[in-house]
Amino acid sequence: MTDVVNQPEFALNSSLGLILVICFGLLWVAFGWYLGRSNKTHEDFALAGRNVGFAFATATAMATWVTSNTTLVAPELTYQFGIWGMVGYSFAALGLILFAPLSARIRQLLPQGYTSGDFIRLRYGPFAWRLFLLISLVYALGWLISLGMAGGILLQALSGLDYHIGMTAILFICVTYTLFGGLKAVIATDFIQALIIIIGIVLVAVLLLEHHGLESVHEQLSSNHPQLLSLLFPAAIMFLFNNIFFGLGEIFHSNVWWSRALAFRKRVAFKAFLLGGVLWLPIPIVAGFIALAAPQLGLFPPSPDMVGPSVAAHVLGSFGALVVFIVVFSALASSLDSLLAATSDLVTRDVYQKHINPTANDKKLLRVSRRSIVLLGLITWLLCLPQIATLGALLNFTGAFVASTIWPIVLGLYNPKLSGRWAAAAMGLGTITGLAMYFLVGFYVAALTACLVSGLCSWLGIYLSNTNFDWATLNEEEQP
Amino acid sequence: MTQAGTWKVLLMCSLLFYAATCSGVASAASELKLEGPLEPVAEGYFQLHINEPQHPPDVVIEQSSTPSFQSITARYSPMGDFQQISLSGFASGDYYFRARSQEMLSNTVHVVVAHHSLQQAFTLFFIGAALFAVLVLCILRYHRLQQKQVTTHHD
Repeated sequence: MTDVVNQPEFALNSSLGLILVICFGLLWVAFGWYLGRSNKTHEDFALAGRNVGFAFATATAMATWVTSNTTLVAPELTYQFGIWGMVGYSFAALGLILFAPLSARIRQLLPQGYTSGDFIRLRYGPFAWRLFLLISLVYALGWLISLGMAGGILLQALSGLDYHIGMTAILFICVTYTLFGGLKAVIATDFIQALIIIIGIVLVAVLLLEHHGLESVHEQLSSNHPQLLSLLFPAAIMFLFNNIFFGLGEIFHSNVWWSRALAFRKRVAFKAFLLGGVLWLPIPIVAGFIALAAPQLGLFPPSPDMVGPSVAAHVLGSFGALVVFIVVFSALASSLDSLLAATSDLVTRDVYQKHINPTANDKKLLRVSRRSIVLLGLITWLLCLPQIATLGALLNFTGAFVASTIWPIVLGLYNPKLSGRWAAAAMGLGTITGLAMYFLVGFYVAALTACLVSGLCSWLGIYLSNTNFDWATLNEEEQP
Repeated sequence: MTQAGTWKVLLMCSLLFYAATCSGVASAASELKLEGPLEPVAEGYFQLHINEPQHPPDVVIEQSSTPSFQSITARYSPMGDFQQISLSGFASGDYYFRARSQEMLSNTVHVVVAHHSLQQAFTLFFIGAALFAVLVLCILRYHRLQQKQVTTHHD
């Protein structure tokens, strides 16, 4: 019999958790305000003047991808799917790596572009564009909610602080500093946050190995949780490629990444995304590994997305909890601000300017951009109040949507024969199939099936097509 | 938005926040009750929920392979004062759980773990692998063609 009784207490007390949030919040807000002083135009605010260099570009590519998904969901999926969960999650790096060639093409085709919506509108026409906007907004909202939830879960796991307080605090902080600084503040804070994340995660893993070693963890898993070590774990095998397609869909369609491709200097984008992906690859392995130690420590969290911070805090005590707090808080902030900025661009450009007020001047657009950030923050906060699902399940729900855009984006960038009608059909049918599989089989097949149906539809469209798109149409001149 | 409008929004937000933070307080039960998944579990992970009003510090969930609990195979303790526990890594089979708090014993929860078939898993795995290979080859080929066109154009 395995006796694993213990009564773990929280590593930090609630007051300390709250003080840490306030201190970090003030620091990031002040930094955002400092960087945002030089933003004069909407282009400065939204695309950092299209002049981001290699070091900042690489750091922001990596740090934005190190999200709550990596620091909380990688351990969650490892806790659920074992070795495959850990390895499978790290393959999301392929999204960044494969976006490298696409980003060079985006920079070449859309020198005046602002958003991924611009591309879909000009390439495929209004119907596909509106469908794409819907997919983008569902995804952005899903990701924003997961990030807000992660803030609350993090503080709850480390200090027992009420979920709603942690969630409210992180949303308020990120909305405020994105509001002051725009993309420039987002990229600069990403650079610092990337350094903190790498150092912190490595530190936790090293300390964990020093304190506990691999043998005892392996022994406990083999006897009581054998599936976590099994390479023939059926659900985990299904999950592997699903996670790859989910990652690809997230990056290929999202304005978070398009705005970076458009903001980076010419020739920088390809190298930055490639290096960012390679640097990101080992992070989920390290983050996921700590979840495997949970059963051996007698730690069984209330929700699997709390396992990462709970284990680190339990093993390493208050110091470890502090490190985990700083790392995850940085990861959350780096993603939340990026997503807020990129989604507000989408709302400002694709919804407001193109649908409501086409003659809006730069000053007006800047104002709308800021209001969109506040509005998005408020909607996210309201939807975060009830904890509707675990982080992994919520994120993978959006997988059905985003994976359906992979083929229309790739083929749209290179193949002139895919028409708007077929692209829209690919996105629509792909999403419907993915959602059906999400509910019929499980979250671990939604993205894979969405991508498969979307791909078949896209290639059928090319096969039957007699259109030949003129690439020059994409170089849209701005109205004076 | 006017100042009065802003105050109304803030007031509404505060009320919602209060309602959300206090929502857990109202529920109370009179006996120790354990709840688990009602359907067979296909992924080897599941959650057990303890329904108890007082959050005593010594709640333990016992696991056995028989409904009579002749031998306890594992014991799990919830974190802090949480009343829910997530377990994972279970192979296909029947598992029985009950909660114990001092002298109180809960009902027994029967969890059936029945993993998906490996045939189904590998079918999806190979479809995914093939789709991924096609996508990567497609991107690389298009990128190379594009590079060639740019070089030719510059020459």
